[in-house]
Amino acid sequence: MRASRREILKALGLGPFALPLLPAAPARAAGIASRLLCVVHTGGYRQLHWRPPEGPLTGPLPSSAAPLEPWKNQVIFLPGLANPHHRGSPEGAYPCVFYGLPQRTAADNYAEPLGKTVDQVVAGVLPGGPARALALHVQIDLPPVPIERGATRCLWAGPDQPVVPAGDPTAAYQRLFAGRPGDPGVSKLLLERKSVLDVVGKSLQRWRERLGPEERHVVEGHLQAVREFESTLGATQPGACTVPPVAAGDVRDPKLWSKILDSQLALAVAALSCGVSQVVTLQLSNSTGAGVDFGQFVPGVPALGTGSGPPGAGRGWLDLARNGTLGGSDLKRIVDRWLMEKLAGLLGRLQGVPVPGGTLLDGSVVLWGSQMHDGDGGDPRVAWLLAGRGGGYFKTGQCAPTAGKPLTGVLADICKAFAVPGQPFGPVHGTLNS
Amino acid sequence: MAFLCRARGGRGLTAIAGLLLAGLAFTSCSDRSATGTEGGGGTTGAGGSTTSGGSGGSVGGRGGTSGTGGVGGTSATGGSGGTGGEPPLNDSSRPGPRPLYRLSDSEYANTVRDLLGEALPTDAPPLQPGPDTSAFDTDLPVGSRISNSNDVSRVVDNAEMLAAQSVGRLSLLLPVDCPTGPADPAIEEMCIRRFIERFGVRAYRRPLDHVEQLEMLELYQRIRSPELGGSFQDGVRVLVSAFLQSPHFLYRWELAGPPTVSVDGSVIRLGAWEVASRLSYFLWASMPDQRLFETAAAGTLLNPGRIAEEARRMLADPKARDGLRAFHLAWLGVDGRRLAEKDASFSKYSPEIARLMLQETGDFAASVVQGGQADGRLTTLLTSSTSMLDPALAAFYGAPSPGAGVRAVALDRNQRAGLFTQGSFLATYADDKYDRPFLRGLAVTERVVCQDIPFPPDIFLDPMPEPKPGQTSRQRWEAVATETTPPCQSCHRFFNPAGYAFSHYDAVGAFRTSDNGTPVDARAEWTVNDQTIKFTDAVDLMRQLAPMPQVHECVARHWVRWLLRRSELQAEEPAIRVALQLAGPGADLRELLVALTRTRLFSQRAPSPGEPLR
Repeated sequence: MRASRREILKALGLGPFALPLLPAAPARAAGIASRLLCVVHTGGYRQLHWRPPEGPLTGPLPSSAAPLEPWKNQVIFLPGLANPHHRGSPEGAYPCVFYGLPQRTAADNYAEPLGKTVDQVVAGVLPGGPARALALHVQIDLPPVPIERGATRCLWAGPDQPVVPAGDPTAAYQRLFAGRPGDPGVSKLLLERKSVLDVVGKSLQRWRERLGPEERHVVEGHLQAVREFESTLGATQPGACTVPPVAAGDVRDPKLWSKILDSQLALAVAALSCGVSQVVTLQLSNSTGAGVDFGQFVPGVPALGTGSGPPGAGRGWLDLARNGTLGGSDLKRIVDRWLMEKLAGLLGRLQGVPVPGGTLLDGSVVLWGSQMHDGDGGDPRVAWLLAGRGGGYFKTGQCAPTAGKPLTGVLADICKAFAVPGQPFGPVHGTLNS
Repeated sequence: MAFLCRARGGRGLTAIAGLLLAGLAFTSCSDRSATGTEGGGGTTGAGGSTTSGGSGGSVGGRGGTSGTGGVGGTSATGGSGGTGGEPPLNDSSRPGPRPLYRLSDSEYANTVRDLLGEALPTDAPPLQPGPDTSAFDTDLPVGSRISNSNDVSRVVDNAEMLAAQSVGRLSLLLPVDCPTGPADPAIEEMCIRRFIERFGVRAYRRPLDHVEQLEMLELYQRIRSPELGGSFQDGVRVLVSAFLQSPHFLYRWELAGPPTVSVDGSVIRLGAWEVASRLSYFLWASMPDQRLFETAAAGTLLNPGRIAEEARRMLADPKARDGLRAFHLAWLGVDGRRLAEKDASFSKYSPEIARLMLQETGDFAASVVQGGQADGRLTTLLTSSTSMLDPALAAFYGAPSPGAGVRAVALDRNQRAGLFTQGSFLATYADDKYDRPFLRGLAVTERVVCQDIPFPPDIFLDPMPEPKPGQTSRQRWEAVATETTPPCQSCHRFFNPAGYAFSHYDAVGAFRTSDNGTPVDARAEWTVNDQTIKFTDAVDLMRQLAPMPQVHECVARHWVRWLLRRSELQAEEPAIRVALQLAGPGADLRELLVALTRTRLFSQRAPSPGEPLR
């Protein structure tokens, strides 16, 4: 007998139901950020149409950024940030985009960080620790994707420890939220899983004592991952929040890219609002972004095979950066604006979740970044956005004077907003703090 | 995607100077020798001192106290077989530490098949997202680390799925005289104890110790407790799931009991269970079979002659096809994803053709080693114009149909010569539309003559310009080699010519006589180890390379890397030479592999730095 995975899950009583399994996150002190959402893509933005004048956001936003108009008091534009350790190509810059410190060259010739990326650093000081960091992606593994590790990994729990994101929102939803309170099948499955993980954990604990430091490090990472997984199972406890079921369809269908993005964003907000996680990361592209076909779902971008672009040109980030203009239309600019609509939608979702004393957005920090500035592969700068006041830390509503300043300053500010001890990314930027 | 290499202004030379100062042996490609003994590989230590051939008795066995109970016995270690630690061969190699690595996806699938008697379902999620598999110093499959909850989730999902399926075959899993349904509690417990013992030894590839057995029994009892209310089948299902999630199943580290260490602490002799798994993953890419387990339990597998005997048996077994396929795909650096990503303009190409190309490489390699027609010779592997094709791939190559199924098919001997002219290699080292001569040349340089080319630091990778009308791929890349700056030029000038030999093959490996409307010119000269080879095309190049001693040595070197799952160390070089001698002047691959199982590298290792030895 050969049963499909779906059949077995069904047989085990799993299904997309409505209530979370975990209690809400413990409250943090006022004035300190409590939730972090990091989103990364490639290609940057057409600066002329995206970048507002430096200073307070008093005038209308440029056309690509216009969807953020209702949110401009909640955002900080961060154009022109310097990436001092840029490796000369956007591909090489991708793995360390949220790291920014001196790097190493991995066996596959991609740069890799020598420490944790900002999401992991912040997760380390939040309740639940790194165990509660949720990593997601949207079709970063669709072809053509370079086979090197650094082409798809940009978040790191440490040297040689890539954070592998989940690309199926339905599966992630089931893992995080499945089960009706009192459903005996689900309760039984969770208890079974915890029993097995307990055996696995003990086995790892004993085994590491018999190994040298190098091997012990590998086993300890495995043990930590098991604990992390176990913590997401949690105790079966009806929560106070309700989340809609997430279903995205075939996660490898390029036409569903936008739908999967929406599902992952919904999942991210659900995870943050229900306390399943305090840190969520979402990778929208691999190092090239060539696997996306925006022509499939972005209005105004013709589908592949139409128009008069270069032979074989795709409609992904890579091609838009190089051949963005088609028939007189700047498709890159259209996609930039569409992405800002998605960001605006995300901010709306966060704003729509009430928490004691305000909304989910108030205590959150959204880092929306790219390893590029405007699509020029040799340009070592990056253009980012911050959103959310982070519990009052950030001085939102401005286009910050970040030109030429190292991106590590922004990462340092984020760490400070979360009260991370020390200065893991060096000094703060200086003008982002309210 | 193709990228054009150019040095980053002013910094490239500085960085190269830094490498020189650091003694990293990167001068220029033209200065490089072909000895290929880079060593290093990220592991430390060279294995410490060893006694010279004939002694080595300090690495003692366990005095011939044999294990009890055969497979599934409860002893922690099997006996030594009474050889007293005689060195396997008169080689002076000093083995280094072994890396801790995890089963690769293909090893996992093979192992599950052999453990549970069932193939991994096609909709099983990949255990390891591809890029992480090549995280170490070579692109050998060493598994990715399990470092976050998503990784664990994949392990759990697969284990639960397989376990749920396995309870449908309960009678095959349980000891023969055990009931598969409700039974007297005493009988049930006895059966479960025996199941844990017998299934455990196969899952962990060594006997479980007392604590491990007890934990599994307690897990079963918990599933059967009133709180969880699980049935007998539930209990077995959860036990199978637990075994499949255990690190002792997922990682290759089959140490049973304390290691057997030499008096000076510099050498560890692998135990019988470790040798059994080393043999099986080396030759089968899967777990040991019943005979290997029994031999391990009896302790006789510590005898070098017995190891070699088992190796010969295993090479003749059909499961060797899995090992040969896995090795050759890894050696060639063939990646299924690159094969799959081709432009739609290649109308005869399809994912099915890509799959058949991977199958061809495995079947062809096996045909050289196994069967009545096999001569085992490396020359055959590198130059044969006969391949193993099914009708669809034969049609793609323009070859006669073999009829139904996979058969040996004679290809045009002016077009194809061995592994490196097969579609899997050629389509891997190409982008979606164009062949990439420099990648093919680089692959031949690193994989056939073992000259490692370091990636130049601080370079830009600009988009490769589209070919001009009438411009061949070779002309396109020759222009690149001219236009790039010195740090790039020195290497490209070194290895590009080897790639020009493959100009007759397009991005999907189809043979062509013209490229972009211009006749193909595959002639070139390539200087390797102060020897200049003039060739007319890839067939000619491979025929000239195949008999060269340095090529034989390179292939042996790659087999050693496959065995160790890391680069070889300088102190391990003697084992390569000894094995090559035993393989004979024709480099009989069967003799080479058997000889490698007799070396110190196979049955010994150095302790890892800081490893507790008691």
